This record gives sequence, structure tokens and C-alpha cells, in this order.
Amino acid sequence: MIYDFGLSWRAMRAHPVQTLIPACVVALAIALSVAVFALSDGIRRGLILASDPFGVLVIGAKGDSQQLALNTILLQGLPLGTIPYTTYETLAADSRVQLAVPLAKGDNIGGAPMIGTNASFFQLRRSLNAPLAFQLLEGELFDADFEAVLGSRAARSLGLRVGDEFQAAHGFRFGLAGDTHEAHYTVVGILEPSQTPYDGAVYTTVGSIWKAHEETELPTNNVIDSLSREQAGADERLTSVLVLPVGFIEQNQLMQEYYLSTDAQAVAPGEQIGGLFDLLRQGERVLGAVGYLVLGMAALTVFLALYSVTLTRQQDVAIMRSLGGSRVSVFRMVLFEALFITLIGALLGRVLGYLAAFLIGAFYTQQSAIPIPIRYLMTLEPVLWVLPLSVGILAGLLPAARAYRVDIVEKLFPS
Amino acid sequence: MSLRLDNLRHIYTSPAGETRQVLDIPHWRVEAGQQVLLRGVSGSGKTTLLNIIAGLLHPTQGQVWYDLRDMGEQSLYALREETRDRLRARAVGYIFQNHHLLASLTALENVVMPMAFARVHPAREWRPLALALLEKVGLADFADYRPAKLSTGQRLRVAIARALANRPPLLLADEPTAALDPASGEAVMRLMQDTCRQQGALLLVASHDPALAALFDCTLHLQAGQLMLGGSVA
Repeated sequence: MIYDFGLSWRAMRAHPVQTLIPACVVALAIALSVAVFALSDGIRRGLILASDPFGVLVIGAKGDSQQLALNTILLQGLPLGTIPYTTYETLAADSRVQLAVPLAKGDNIGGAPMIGTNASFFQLRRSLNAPLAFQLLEGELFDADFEAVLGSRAARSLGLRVGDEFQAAHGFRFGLAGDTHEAHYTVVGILEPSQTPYDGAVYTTVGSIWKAHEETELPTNNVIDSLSREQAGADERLTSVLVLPVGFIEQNQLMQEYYLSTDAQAVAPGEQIGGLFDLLRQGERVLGAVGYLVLGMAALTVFLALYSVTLTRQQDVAIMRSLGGSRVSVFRMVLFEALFITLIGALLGRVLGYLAAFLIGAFYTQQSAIPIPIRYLMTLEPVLWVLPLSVGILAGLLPAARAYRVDIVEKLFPS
Repeated sequence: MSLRLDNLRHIYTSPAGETRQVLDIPHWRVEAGQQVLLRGVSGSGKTTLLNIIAGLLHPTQGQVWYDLRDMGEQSLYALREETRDRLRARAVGYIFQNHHLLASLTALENVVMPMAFARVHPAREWRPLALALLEKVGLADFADYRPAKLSTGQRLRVAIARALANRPPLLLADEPTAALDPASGEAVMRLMQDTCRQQGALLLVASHDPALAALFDCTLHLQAGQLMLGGSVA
């Protein structure tokens, strides 16, 4: 048996192209599956990680609830509109609310969003007994208007340190509007990484945002500017409020109240993220089907390669048989080759798949600030071994049978 | 090991359906240690006879008997194919006219191959035994060469070493000197004969080379499918 392995190996080395091409196709199929599942897993865990600290409810303007949740929790897309600051004051005073956090957006510095909030933001936790989600790395929290605290990634990308001064620009993101506010902010603290998109933000008081807009004559020449102006307007409005109710019943009561309200809506980020997971699952299914299709193509490629090699090696098989090699032995050798090819493909596919997932995840994290932690998926392993090796055996059966049936005399003495 | 053929007939059928009898041997027995030269013109059935004796070609009719304990009371073609394969690996060394070495293997690996099939020797002894055989045929320095890098004479020597790998009691050679000059041919022939004498093996050589007759005590002619000793049926 071991000798048969050795002969299969030597035969494959003698036909490197017929070995490597089908192995690469198998590798692509496996890589596709690995990348899809690893990325899906990473996105899922990343979304949970990124949304964990932000309470149970988001209160914001009426409109697309998913847009409200994504903009508030993941800082993706544009805000819906604004709500009065009194909404926050009412919630903060409500006995059913454990923690209410105001959020005012509308300015940026070098593309990093400015977020007007208060000390309650720094009380957010991933869970009840977890440590604070946003902790100072150096300096202190803002205490007065025009003092700013930088998220870890914002500090790195902007190159600012405690004591530095900067001016904010009008607009949600870099490039929306070039107007710079006259007000000068002073960096008073820098946060530790929180593994959320908020690492890329700059925090200040809500009052700073309002005052900056009072002091500046803002252009109103396009829709986005109008929205931005409204968002950070001087008339004491907020973009949204994060709410942590004291319990499940209170949460439902608040949801019900805001459902009936005409001014604002309450959305549960968990539900919205769950909706994203549903979309993700659909994508997984489609890409999974593509993976199976590629694996089917890989099976055909392995079959064709082995079949052509077997045809060209019939004389070798006849020689082995004439020297006492049994039919079973040559059958086994061809099957070993099929298994070798799929094994090489399966191993290479894993490396390529995880590498692709890691690179795509890193790229997407850089683009969206949502962390995509890629991890080794042990649960996927049984399928990733059984499937390609089954494909290898199936693809090798017919060529192996052909080798099994080789007529020794006809091949060795054709005349 | 002695060899016996009984009522052996072989008929080829062409694709057009025409039949041609190439062998008709009522009875023939060769004793252990004998060295026999089979002569005959091309197409006289020499290779067919060797193939039948080697267990590679099922005869149309008749029996082949090896006097071996492995076979019991059964004739060669009454054995299951797996058993016949195993028996061929252990008991028969076959030197083909075209040598039929595996191109993807080195000379040493070609010699090791029948050892792996026969399992007569433990695996750890395969390489040293194969090296000793290559040394015996004068190719110790060419052990790592692939057949494509060897001359015709060298390939024939590798084929001889391979045929002797399991110390078979029956050595068959089909036109072994056909591609060699007379001096090289005689040297190769003597190598085979000496080795068979040392091992007590039966040697059957099929050749149309008249020069070889002087080296053998027993020469048989294959004519019209029949074995003739001198002018009479053997």
C-alpha cells in the first residue's frame, strides 16, 4: 500500500501539469467556500462586536429604521433627520430609562465624524457587568465646549495629540463640504481602541456643535448641506439618542410610545442587525451554491486530467501488471492520485481562502471602520475534507477502472 | 521449478474474424535448472509462448503447470487472477524485447518495483538488494539514472536486474540480444546463464539469433506452432 502511494507520487511528479491544474481548480472551489464562510462569520461577529455597547434602543427621526440604526451604531450612510433636544431631556428624566445618550452629528475633521454628546456616552458598556466600552488611554474627558476627545483610530489618522488644536469642517464626512468652522477645538483626551466604528470619531459637547454652527455662515446650495445644516443646526436639535431601558417591559413600552409618536421613532439595533444577518445568510447561500458549482467543475477537471493521464499511461500499467502488480494495486494507485490531487487542492484552498478572507476583511474594515475578525472555522473542517475527497474518489473511479481493465499483452505487444 | 505444458493451443482471431493457430504443443516438459533456446522466424509464436508461460496470455486451450508448492494441484490458468499475479511476481522473471522500463522511475526504482509487488524480501532490504543486482550487471554507477538517459545495452541490463529481483525460479527472455552487437550480446547472455546456474533457475530464451545456439545445450525450433527438436517434434 505504501509502495502504491510512492508510485502514485512519482507518476504525478512525472505529469506536473495534469496534477497542478486540477489541484488548483479544487483549491479555488475550497478557497471560495472558506472565504465566504470566514467572511460571513467575521462580519457577523464584527457587527455584534461593533453594536454591543450601544444600548437597546435608538431614538431618531421618522424614516427608514435600518438607516437610523446603521447610521447611529455603525456610522454608515447619512442620518435620517433630527429630533428636538427635549426628546433627550424627556428620556433622561424618564424613570424607565437607565441611560440616555445624546448624539449630534454634522461636522467632521479630515473625514473623521465629530460627535456631540455628553459624559453619559462614556458610561456605555458591552453588557451589564462588562468594563466601560470607551475608556481613556491618555488625557481626560471633555469638560467644556470646544474640548475634544479623539477615538483611537481618529487620533492615529489625524496625527493629533493631547493639547493640539484643530478646526472642524462642515459635513458628515470628508469632502461633503469644504467650509471650516471658525471655532478652535483643543484635544483633551484620547480613547483606547473599542473595536467599534466609533474609534474613528471625535467627541465633543453637544453645545460645541451647536455653537460652531451659530458662528458660521453655512452654504445651502445642495440637499446634503441642507441636511447637514439641519442636523447640526443652532436650534438645539440632535441626530439621535441611545437609550438603555431598565428592563424588557420598559423597553416595549417605550417602543410602543414612539411607534405612536409622529415626531420620532424607536428602533432596536439588534433587530436591524438581525435583518442584516438574514441578508448575509441569503448571500451565503448564493455564494455557497457557486462554491458547489466550482467544486463540480473541479471534479470534472480532476476526472479529465486523470482520464487523459491514465490513457497515456496504459503501457506503464501493463508493465506493472506484467511484473506482478495486481489489478487492485493499479486501481488503488489511480485512486491515490485522485486523492492526492484533491488533498493538495483542499490544503491550498484553505490557505488561499483564509488569506483572501483576511485581506478582504482588512480592506473592508479600513473602508467602513466595522471590525471583521477572521478566525479559523473548526466547524467547517469536516465538510472541507469530506467534500473534496469524495469528489476526488468519484472523479478517480472511472480512470481507475480503466487502469484495472488494461489488457497487458495488447499494451506490451501491440503488433 | 520444472515447467510442463499439456495440449497447448493458441489461436488468434483477426478483427475481420479470420483465425490463425499459432501454437500447437501436445506436451512439453522442462526440468528445473535447464537452459533452453527457442528459435523461430518472426511471427512463429515465440513471444506468444513466453507470454502464455508467464501467465500473461490465456491460451485458447491447454494447461500450463509450474511444479511449485504455491500452485498445489492447479494449473496456472486455473488460478484466480490475483493469485496468478502474485505467483508471477515471485516465480517469473521476464526480460521483454523492448525492455519495458518505467520511464518515470530511476534504474534502481525499476529494479525495486517487482520486489514491492512480490513481498519476498522485507522492504528495508529492497534498496540494498537492487543496488547489488545493478552492480552485478555493471550499472552500480547508473542507479539514479532514468531509462531515457541510458543506452539500449544499459536498459537491457536494468531489465535483467529487474527480472532477477526476486530470485525467480523461471527466467524468460524475449530476443534479449536483438539490439546488441555480437560481443555485447554474448556477454549479456552469459550473465543470464551464469546467474540462472547459480540460482538453479530455469532459463527460456526466445531468439532468432543463430549465434546463440552455441551457448545452449538445448535448442528448440518453433515451426508452424509446433516445437521441434532437430527435425522432429520435441
